[in-house]
Amino acid sequence: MEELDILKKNWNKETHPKVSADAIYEMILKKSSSAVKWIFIICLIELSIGLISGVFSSGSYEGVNLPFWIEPIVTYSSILIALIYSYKFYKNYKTINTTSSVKSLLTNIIKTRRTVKQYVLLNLSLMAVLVIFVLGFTLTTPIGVSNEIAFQISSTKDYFILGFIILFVTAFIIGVCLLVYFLLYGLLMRKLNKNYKELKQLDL
Amino acid sequence: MEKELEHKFVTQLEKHQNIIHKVCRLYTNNQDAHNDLFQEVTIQLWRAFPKFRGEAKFSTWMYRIALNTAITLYRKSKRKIKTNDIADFHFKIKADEYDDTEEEQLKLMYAAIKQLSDIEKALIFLYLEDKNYKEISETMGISEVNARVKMNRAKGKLKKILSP
Repeated sequence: MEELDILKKNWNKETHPKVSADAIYEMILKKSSSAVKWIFIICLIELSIGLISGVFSSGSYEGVNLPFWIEPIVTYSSILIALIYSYKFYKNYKTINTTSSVKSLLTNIIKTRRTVKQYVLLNLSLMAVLVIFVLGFTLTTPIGVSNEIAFQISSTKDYFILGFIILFVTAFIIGVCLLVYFLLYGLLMRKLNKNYKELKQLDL
Repeated sequence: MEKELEHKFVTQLEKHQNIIHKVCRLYTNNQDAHNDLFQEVTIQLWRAFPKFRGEAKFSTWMYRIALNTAITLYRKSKRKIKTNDIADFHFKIKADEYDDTEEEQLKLMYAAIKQLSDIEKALIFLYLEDKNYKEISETMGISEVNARVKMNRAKGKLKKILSP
């Protein structure tokens, strides 16, 4: 291609304003603003929210007489899941290396991101299952609700209204979480995903 | 120790800075974005420098990090881009063989390259740097055959942009 060859001929002849050694010294003191840095920070926030909410969620079922084994199982399993995913995240994060090939760098970042994505989706699903379980238990078992609440809601109709409200609020909270989540990552990951897809498609 | 490492890095980078400028030239549309990307590449190079063993040439090592930064890590500058910035910023060729038509062709060529995808730009960059397909495939992480296929496609796309 003639035009490209003209460019190639001139490629090394072009001059650029030289950056001085002093300016380079200044640059290396500055903080990176790379996409990976932001992905890393958001992932850490997500993992710590999961961990903290696991620890503090105990005692949040007051007013509902659930079987005694539910609470420790929910608390400990959510802490365990958060720890497992934190470890997986850390291991994947360590494989991100700027000196690897373009494709493996993209693969590693996407893999690291996927770990935390799985974690968040798992947490949200667990939350949904738990709410449905608590709701089902409350509505079907006479001892499911403490006397105080039972006193306030006396008819079957009220039970269903209460159930519907809880379900709606849960769905709304999960929906908002997902929306914020996909918007946040959509922006950060768009370029990475696009380039990754292009390379992957080529290698099929 | 740190000071010594810093000094070694800055000296090498100052000497080979043209590589970063050339990557910035293909991936950015104005001087501000050029400077931003230059800085981000420098930061990434500095971070990776303690692990640089000197087995590869400093310049080869720079290619990878500079391209990886442009393709993966760099988030486009939020500053507004003026349309007249796009084709016209820094086209200064050493004046020994100054040729008006050639200068014009180069401008068109750069404008055409800007329309390629990030991956295609990387391939064209490596072609301009006179890298062979083995090096290109290693840098990109794809097979040599696919690098060749993709390179031909990128060249074809450029041709189409230039003569629609």
